[in-house]
Amino acid sequence: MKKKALCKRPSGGVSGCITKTLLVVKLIIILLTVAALHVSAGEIRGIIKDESGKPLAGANVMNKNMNITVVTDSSGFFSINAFAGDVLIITFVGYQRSEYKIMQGDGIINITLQRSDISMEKVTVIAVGYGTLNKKEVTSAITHLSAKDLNQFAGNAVLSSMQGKVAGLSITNTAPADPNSSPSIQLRGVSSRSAGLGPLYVINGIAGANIDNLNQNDIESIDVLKGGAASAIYGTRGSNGVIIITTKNGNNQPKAFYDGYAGIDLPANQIKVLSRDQFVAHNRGVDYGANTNWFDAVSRNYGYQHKHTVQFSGGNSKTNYILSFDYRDAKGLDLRSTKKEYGGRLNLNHSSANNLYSVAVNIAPRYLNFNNASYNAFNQGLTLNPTLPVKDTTDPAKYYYINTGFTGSYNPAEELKTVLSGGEGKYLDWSASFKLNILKNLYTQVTLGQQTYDFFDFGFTPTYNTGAIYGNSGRNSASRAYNKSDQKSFEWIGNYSLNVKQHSFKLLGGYSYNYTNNSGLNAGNQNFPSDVLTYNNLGSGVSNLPLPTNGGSGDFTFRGLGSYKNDAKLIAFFGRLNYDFDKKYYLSASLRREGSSKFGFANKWGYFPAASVGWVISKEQFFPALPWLDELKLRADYGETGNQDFGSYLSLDTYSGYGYYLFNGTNYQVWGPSQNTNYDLRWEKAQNFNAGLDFELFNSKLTGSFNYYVRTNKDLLGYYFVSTPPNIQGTTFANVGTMKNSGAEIQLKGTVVSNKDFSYTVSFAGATNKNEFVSFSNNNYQGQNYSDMAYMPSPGSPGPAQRLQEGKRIGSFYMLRSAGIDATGRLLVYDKNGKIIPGNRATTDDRQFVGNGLPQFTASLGNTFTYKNLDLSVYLRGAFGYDLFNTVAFYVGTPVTQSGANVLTAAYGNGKYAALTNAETYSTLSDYFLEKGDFLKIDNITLGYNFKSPIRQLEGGRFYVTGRNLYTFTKYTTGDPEAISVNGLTPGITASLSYYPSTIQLIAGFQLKF
Amino acid sequence: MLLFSFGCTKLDETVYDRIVSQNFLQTKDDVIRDFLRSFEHGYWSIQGGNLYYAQELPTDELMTPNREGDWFDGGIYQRIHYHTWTLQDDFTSDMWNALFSGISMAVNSLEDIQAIDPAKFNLTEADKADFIAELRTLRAWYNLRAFDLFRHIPLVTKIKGETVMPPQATPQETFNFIEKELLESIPGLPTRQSLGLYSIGRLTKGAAAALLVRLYLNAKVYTGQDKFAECAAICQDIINGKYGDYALESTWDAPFDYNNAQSPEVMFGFPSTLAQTHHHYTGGMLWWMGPHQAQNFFGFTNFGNMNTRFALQPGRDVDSVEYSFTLGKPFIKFQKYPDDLRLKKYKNLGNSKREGMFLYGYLPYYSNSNQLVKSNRGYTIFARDQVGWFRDLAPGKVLADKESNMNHADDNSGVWPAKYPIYPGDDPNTIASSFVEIRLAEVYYSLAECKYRAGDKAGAAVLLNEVRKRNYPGGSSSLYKTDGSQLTDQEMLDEWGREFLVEGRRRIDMIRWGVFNTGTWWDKQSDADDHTKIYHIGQTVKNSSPQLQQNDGYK
Repeated sequence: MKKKALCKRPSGGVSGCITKTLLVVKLIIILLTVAALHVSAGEIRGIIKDESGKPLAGANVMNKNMNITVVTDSSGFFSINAFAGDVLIITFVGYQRSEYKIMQGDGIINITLQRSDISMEKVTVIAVGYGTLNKKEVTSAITHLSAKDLNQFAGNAVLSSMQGKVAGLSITNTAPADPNSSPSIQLRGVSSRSAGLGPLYVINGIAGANIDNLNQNDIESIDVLKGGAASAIYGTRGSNGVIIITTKNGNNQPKAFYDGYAGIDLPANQIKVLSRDQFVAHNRGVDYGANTNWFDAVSRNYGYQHKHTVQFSGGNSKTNYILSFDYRDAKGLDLRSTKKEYGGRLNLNHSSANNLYSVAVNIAPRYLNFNNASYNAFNQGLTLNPTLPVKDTTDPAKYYYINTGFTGSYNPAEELKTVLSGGEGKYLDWSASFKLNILKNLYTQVTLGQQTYDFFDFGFTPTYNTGAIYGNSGRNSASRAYNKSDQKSFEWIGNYSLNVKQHSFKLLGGYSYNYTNNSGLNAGNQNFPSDVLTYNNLGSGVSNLPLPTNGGSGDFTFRGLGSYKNDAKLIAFFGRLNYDFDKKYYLSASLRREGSSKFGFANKWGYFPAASVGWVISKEQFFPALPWLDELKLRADYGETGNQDFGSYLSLDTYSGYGYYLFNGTNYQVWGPSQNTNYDLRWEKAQNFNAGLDFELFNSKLTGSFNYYVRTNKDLLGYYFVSTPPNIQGTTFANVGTMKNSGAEIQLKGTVVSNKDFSYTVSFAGATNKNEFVSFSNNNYQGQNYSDMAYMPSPGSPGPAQRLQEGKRIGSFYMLRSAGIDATGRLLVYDKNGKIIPGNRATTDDRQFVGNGLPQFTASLGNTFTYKNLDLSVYLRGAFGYDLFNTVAFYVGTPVTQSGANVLTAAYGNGKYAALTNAETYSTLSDYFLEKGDFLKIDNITLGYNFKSPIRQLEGGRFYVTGRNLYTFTKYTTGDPEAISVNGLTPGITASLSYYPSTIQLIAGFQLKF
Repeated sequence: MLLFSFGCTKLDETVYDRIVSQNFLQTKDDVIRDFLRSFEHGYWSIQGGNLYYAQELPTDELMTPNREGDWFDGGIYQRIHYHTWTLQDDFTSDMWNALFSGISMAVNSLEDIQAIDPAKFNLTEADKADFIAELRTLRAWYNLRAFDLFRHIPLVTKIKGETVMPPQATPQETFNFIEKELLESIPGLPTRQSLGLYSIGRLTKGAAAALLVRLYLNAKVYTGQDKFAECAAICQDIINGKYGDYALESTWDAPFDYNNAQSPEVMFGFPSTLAQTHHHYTGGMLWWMGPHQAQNFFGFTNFGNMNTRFALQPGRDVDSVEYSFTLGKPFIKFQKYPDDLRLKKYKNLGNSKREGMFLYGYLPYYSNSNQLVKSNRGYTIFARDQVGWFRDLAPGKVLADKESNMNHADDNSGVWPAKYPIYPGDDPNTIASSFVEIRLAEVYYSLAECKYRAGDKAGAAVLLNEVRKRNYPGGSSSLYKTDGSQLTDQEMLDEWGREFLVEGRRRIDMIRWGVFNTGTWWDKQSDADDHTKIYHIGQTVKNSSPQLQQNDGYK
C-alpha cells in the first residue's frame, strides 16, 4: 500500500492538509523563532492551486480573525489584509477546506487544496454522547446519517425518513397515513418484557428529548449508537440504543432557505371484501337494500398534507444563529383525522473574542391540534353488511342505526362524522449551555435543559348519534383530558485532551441530574342540555348517572373525574477515556454510576462500564499492500447498559383506593395495598458485545462496516406470577428472566460511477436478528417457563396465538398444526400425539410451535443517480424469513364467517380459505392462517432538479417529486404485510381487526436558497 | 464538582397520587377504609375470579353452551360441563387468586388494625375489637369457600413481611381452624339489631353462626366426619333468635328486592348502589344472564347490552319432549308445582315492583311491547326450555336438526333466570338490590335436611313449608304434606335447587347428596371417578408456588 505523503493535521475538529511534510517542518522552525514578534497589518498575497498545480479561480479566502473574504482571480491569485498569526480559511467547491496561519515573514503563500472525493479524507464527525469523535476514532458500532441520507417523507414522525437506513434499527409504522401516528422504533431486537423498547433520543445533547418536536429540515445529522460500549455512557437509559440528533447551526454566510411540499395519500394494498351484489349472491345475510362500500364510506378520496419550512441563518465565527419555522397541515385518509402543527427552532452560538467561553442556546416550541382517526372504523369497513345504508332510509338527516353484524358493530361513518375526538398539544424544549475553556485543552461545560409537553384532549358524542340514542338512552356525553409532562436536566462535564508524541488522550468526566414529572386531569359527564355545548361545559351535564362498570359491550365511561401525578429522578456520575496511539490503536473506556428513584431502596445505584478497542490493521507494516484496500479497522467492544423505562412507585408499599362499600350508611372508598412491595426492584441490565470492522476500498469508492453483536438482557422487568398468599396481588413487578439477541449487520456505501456529469452511488444496509428468550426464572422467582401472548379477541375466544418460552425465539406462534381439510370442510389438525383430529376437538394441550413472526433478515438498497442538475434516488426495502398470522382471514376470510358479516373476496372461489366451509372449526386457531410475510418494497423514488438562480437575489433551488410505498412484492394475501408490526413482544400478528389502510404517497415540493 | 454532587444524590421517591403504608392511617375514616378493603373484594369475588360459575356450570343447573360461535372460548365451558377439565385449564388459578388475595387483604387489614391505638383515631377499644372479630369472620368466610373448592389450602394468619406461602393444611386442620375462628369471633361480633339499618354488609353473630351451619352441614364432604347433629343444634339456635332477630319474608322476591338491605331474612349480604358498587349486576353474574338485547326487555339500558353467558339447562329436547333423566331440568322442577308464583314470566310492573322469575318466549321491549328482543344475528328470540339451532323457527314448528348439546345452541336456547329485579332506568330503585350471601331460609333448609337425614321427615316438611308457603297461593296443594311422605333424596335436592336457584351453591348440594359425579343430566354422562368434586390448583398458581400438592386425580 502506498503510504500517503500528505500530513493530516486536525485543527478545531476539522482536519485539513495544508502542505507537504517538509513545509510543516519549515513552518514550525519559523514559528519557534519568530512567533513572539509583533507584526503590523499588511497585505498578504498568495496563490491557490490544486494537487496537479493548476491554479484555482474563484476560491474563497477568508481571514478568520478579521472576517473579510476575497476571491481568487483567474490565475488563482489573491490578496488580503492580515496580521501575522491570523488564520486564513480557504474554501472551494469540490475541494477540502483548508486553513493557513500567517507567519511573520511569509512571502507569497502557496496553498494546495485537496480534491474532496466523496469520502476521501472527508472527516465525518460522529456524536458519541457528551462529545464528538472523528469517524476514524470510533471504536464502537455507530451508524452516522447526514441530512442528505434521509428519505423524502411527508408525515408525522421524522424518524420514518431513516426507515431501513440503519442496519439493525427496525422502524415500523403500521399506519403511516394517519397524520397522528408515530412509528415504533426498536434496535437490535426486543430487549425487554415490560419496560420501554424504544431508544433514548438525544437532541443537541439533551437526553430524553421529545422526538415529535422536530422538523426534518432542521436535522444536520443523526448518529445511532448501536453498540453497548457507545450507549453505556447513558447508563440506565442506554439498553435500547441511543439516537443522537444534531440540528443545523448557522455559519458565516447569511442565508435563507425555503422548503415546501404537498403530498397525497392514496389507498394501496387494499383488503378486498365482497361487494353488495356478491354479498347477496353468496347469501351472506339479510339484504337491507342499500349498496354501500363501507371502506369508501369512512374514507376520503385521498389524504392530503402540505408543509412549509423557512430557515434563516448567519453569523460569523464568533456568533452564529439559525432560526427555523415550519407549518404543516395534514388530513388523513379517514374522514376525521387531521393534524395542524407549527413549530420553530432557534440555535444560537456565541463565543467570546478570546475564546475563553462560549454559550449555546437552543429553543424549540411547537403547537399542534389534531383530530383522531378511528382504526375501528376501518374494521367496520371490512365487516359490515354492504346492503346496510349509511343514512337512515326514512330520514336522510340521520345515520342508520347498526348493531348487527360482526362483533361490536356500529355505523363507522356516523362515528367519524358525529363523534368528536381530538385535542391540542404544545411542546417546548430548550437548552442552554455555557462552556469555559480553562486551558487550550481543558474545558468545562454546564448544560441546562427542559423538555415539556402538554396535551389537552376532548371527546364528544351528541344526542343524535344512533349509538347514543339506542345505547345510552339518548344522552350526549363528553370528556376532556389534560396530560402534561416535564423533564428538567442539569449536566456538568469536563473535558481534557492531551497529545504527547503519538499518544493522544481525551478525558471526560461529568455529572447528570434529570427530573421528570408527569401529571394530568380528566373529567367526563353526560346528558348536557344542548349538543351545541359539545365538550365545553362539562358542568352542565347530569353526573349522578351510574358508572358503567359492567364490562362487555356498550361501555361508555363518561362520568368521572380523575387526576394523577408522579415523578422520577435520575442521577449519574460518569467518565470516559479515549486514547489512541499513532492513529493506529484506539481504546475507549467509560464508566457511569447511575441511580434512579424508581428502583427499590436496596438497589438504587448501578455501575455501567464499557470498553472498546479499535485497530487500524491496514496501517501495520506487516499488512500486505493491497492496491484496492485503503483502510481496514477492526473493532471490538463490550458495554453494560440499563433500562429504567417503567412507571414510578413500583417498588413501594403503596395503598390505593378501590371500590366503594357501604358502612353505617356512608359509601366509603376502600383502601388497600395496591401492589406487592418489591424493595429489590432495579434496572434491567444488558450486556452488549459487539465486534466489527470498518473498511474503505477502491480509493474509498466503497466504504462500509460490518458488525456482529450479542446482547444479553438480564433481570427483565415485568409482572411475574407469585404466591397468593402471602402476596395480596397475584403478580409482582420484578426483575426476572433473560433474553438474548444476536445478529450480523452490514452497511455499505459505494460510488459506482463518478464523473463530471453523472454519478451513481449505492448504499446497502442489511441485518439479521437471532432472538432467544433464555430463561424465565431466578433464585427468587420460580415460575412457569413461558408466557402466553397475543390473545385473540372474540368471537369464539380462540385464545393466545403466541408463546414466549424459554429457549424460543420471540414471536413464536403457538397454536394447532393444521392437517388439511376434510370432506365436510372442517379444518383438521394434529393432536399432541400426531393423530389427525377435527380442529374443534383439539385441546389446549395439542398446541405446538408452528412458525415465527420475527424477520430473519431485513435489508434496504438505496440507489442515487445524478446527471447534471438532475438527481434520482430509488430506495428498496424488505424483510425476509418470517410468518404473519392472517387475522383478517381467520375472522372474516372464510365462508363460515357468521352470517350478517361481510367477508374477504377470497372467502369464495378456489382459495385456501374458501375451502373452510364447515362452521364447526371456525374458531380453531391454527397455522392454516400463517402466511409468509416476506416482502420487498419500492419504498421511495425521488426525482429532483437543482437549479442555479438566474437572478442575483436567489442563490438556487430545487424541485422534487417523491413517490413512497409505490409497490410491494409479497405473497402475503391480505393487505400490506407491513401493516402488521414486527416490533414489540408479538411480532407478526395483530390481535385485532382494527387497522389503518396502507397508502401510496405522492409528494411534490420545491426548495429555494437565498 | 464533587462537593456539589453530594448534595444531589438523593433518590427517594416523592409519592404524589398514592399513599405509602407508613403514613396511610391518619384518621378514623382511614381505619374504616382499611377495614373495608377485603369486604369490597369479597363482594367482587361473588362473581369475579370465575367463582360464580365454578359453583354453577359443572352442575345440572346453569349452562354456557356454544351459541353459534359465542361462548365457545376454547371449549372451556364444555369441559366444565362434562367434568373433563384438565390441569391446563387455568380458570382455577383465578379462583384461587381471588380468594387468597381476599384472605391476604383481610389479614393485612387485621395486622394494620391490631397495631393501632384506637384512641388516636377517635375509636374505642370495642370498635377495634369489633373490627378484628369481623375481619377474622370474613377470613373464615373466604377460607370456607377456598376449602369447599380446593380442600387442601394454606391457612394464613400473617402476611406483612412474608414471602413464602404456608404449607397446605389437612382438611381436618382447616375445618378446625375455621370452626375455632368463628366460635372465637362470635362473642365480639355485633348483632343485626345493634347495627340497625346498616347491618347488611357487616359480619354479625348471626352471619358467623350461619357460616358454622355451612361448615357443619358439609362436614362429611370436607373431612369425612359428619356433623349433622351440631348443624341441627346451631340451626335451631339461630331460628330461636340466639344470634339475633331474623325472620322469613312473606313473599318470595322480598329477599332480592331493592330494599332487601333491611330484610329480616338476610343474615349477610353485600350492599349495592346503582351509582357505586353492584358487583352481582355485572357480567360475571346477572348482567350476562339474558339475550344480548334483553336490557330493552327490562327497560334498563344504562349498562349497554346484556349477554348470553348463563342460562338454565334445558328440560326438553328439540321436539319439546321432556328428558328422561331425573337430575337437572331446573325449569321443569319448578313446573312440577304449577301454581308457583315464580313461574310467571318476568315483568316490570312499575313503581319498583315486578312479577315472575324467568325470561322465556318472546321478550317485548319494556318501552314498546310491539318490539321484540332480537338476537344479534338478526332473528327474533323465542326463549325456550330447549337447546338447538332454532333461529327463526316459529314456536311449535318442527326442527329438522335434532342436535342438542353444549356445542350446538343458539340464542333461543334456554330459559333465563331473573332472581334479582332489573327495574327500568327511570325507576328510582333500579339496580338497588343488595346481594344476599346468607339468608335465614338456608338455615331452615339446612335444619330440614338434618332432620330428614335423622329420619324426621315430618319435621323436615314443616320447616320447608315455612319457607315454601310464600311461593304458592294460599291453601295451595303444592305445600308438602305435613307427614313428610313426599320427601325423598331427589325431592330434597330438587327443593334445594328451587329455593336456591342460581345462588351459587348447587355444586356443594349435589356433592353432599352424592350425585355430582355419579349422576347424569342434560348432555352429561356420569364420571369415571369423583376427582372433580374439588378443583385442581391451577397451573399459574402451581407455577409460582411449586411446593403446593396437587389434588388427587388431576394429571
